[in-house]
Amino acid sequence: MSEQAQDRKPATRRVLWPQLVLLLGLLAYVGAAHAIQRVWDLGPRPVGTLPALALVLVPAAIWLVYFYLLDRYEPEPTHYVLSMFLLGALVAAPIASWVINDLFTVEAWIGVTPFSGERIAASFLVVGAAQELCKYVVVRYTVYLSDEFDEPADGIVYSTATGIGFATALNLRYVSSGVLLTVGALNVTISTLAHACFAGVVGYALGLAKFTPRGGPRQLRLALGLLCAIGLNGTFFLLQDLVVRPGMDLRPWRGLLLSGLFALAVFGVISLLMRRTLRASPAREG
Amino acid sequence: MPATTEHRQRDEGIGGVLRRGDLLVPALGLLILCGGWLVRSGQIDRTTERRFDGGLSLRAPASWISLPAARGRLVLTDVVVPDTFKPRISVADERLPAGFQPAELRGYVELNLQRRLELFHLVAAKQTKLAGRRAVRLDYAYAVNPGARADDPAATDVPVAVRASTLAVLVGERLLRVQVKQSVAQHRAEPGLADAVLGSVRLEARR
Repeated sequence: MSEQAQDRKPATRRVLWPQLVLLLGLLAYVGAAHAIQRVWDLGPRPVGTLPALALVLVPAAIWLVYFYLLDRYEPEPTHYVLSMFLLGALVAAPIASWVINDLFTVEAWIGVTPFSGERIAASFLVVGAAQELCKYVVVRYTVYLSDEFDEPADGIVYSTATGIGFATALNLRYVSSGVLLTVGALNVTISTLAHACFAGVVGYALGLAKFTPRGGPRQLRLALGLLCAIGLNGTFFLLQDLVVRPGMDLRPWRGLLLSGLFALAVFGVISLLMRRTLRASPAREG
Repeated sequence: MPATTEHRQRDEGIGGVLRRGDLLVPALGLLILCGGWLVRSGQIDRTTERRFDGGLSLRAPASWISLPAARGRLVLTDVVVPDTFKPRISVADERLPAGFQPAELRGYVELNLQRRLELFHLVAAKQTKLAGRRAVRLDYAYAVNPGARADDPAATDVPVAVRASTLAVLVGERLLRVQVKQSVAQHRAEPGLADAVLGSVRLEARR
């Protein structure tokens, strides 16, 4: 632990109420988007730069604070968490997008039939692998090496911040291409949560691996974490695809419901993992 | 908690970071991506055979879907192209007018296109044969407004220049036409599409 980290007293925070308020804030955000769409009778359209930023940054900020508050015993430095958010948005997301769209030209060969063989293969072997590998590399070769990464729970905190930044960059592109406001707001909220949680799975593995004794199953834990995240990401891509595929007879609500339920289930798992790592946190006794 | 297995971060540069960097895990990710590349290689140029009622078949990109079309027509398109004008392959079957002379085939097809298409411009024309039947291939350009709608005359869009090729085959008293059309930008990006599709057209032997 760094001197700076040692100087900070472990601060147990009350998190239930603030988190409830944040979740209500998310509902208010989606409600506001729905009201704007109804009042101005807006159809699907490209959103201008400032409204697009607001549309993607509001849920990103809410989820960022939510996950930050989960680390209740020894909060991480906010500038580290924000840096990981920026690395996710400005490094991991552009690289993953380049790999998926320009190198693999995924849209050109996966066809449009939902759950077809090539679509499933692309979801796991290309989209899931590229996105989760980029998030992993960003966390593993930056904050993981720092002295601030000093307990297993930190892996989840930093990785979720990276995932939220990653989702923010993808969502900015999505809403700029033209969306129905309510569908866009819901999809942005869900995909931000989903990417945060997938990265959280890798983060959990990174947290465990960093404190695995020498000779322990360190590489195995990391590999399993990455594989799980790729599996979850690929499944989510298949479900979310029913919402965002352009030029087709879409039923966005069905896709939103499926991807939303899936993201909530992963969110539940991440919350349990976080609770588990916090129970073992040395800062808890401090 | 002190790190039990990690050395303290020292200023060793990127080489030092990578040496201690669990490179097997990124290697696993890259291996999975290699699997994705193999799947892509098998799919990217994959074509499937599409059959038409008149005994005609052709090979089209596997990812293209069939659109609802009037009876006697087949329309395939690539819906994932982000442009407003989607590339298309269409097959149509029409009865020829009474008194039609086979020698007039090229003129008949060209006149038909000229009547229907805005700013029609013929690029090339070639007489050919398909399964022993008289045929003609025309390459041409025209302009289309992708936003135009019959039910809403006010609906409009910026016109798009289209490159198209039509292969017309005489089958008894009927004319089978296969048309491949792309916007000029799409044609520049994939100039061999029309040749590949029209070159794959097969017709059942005379019955």
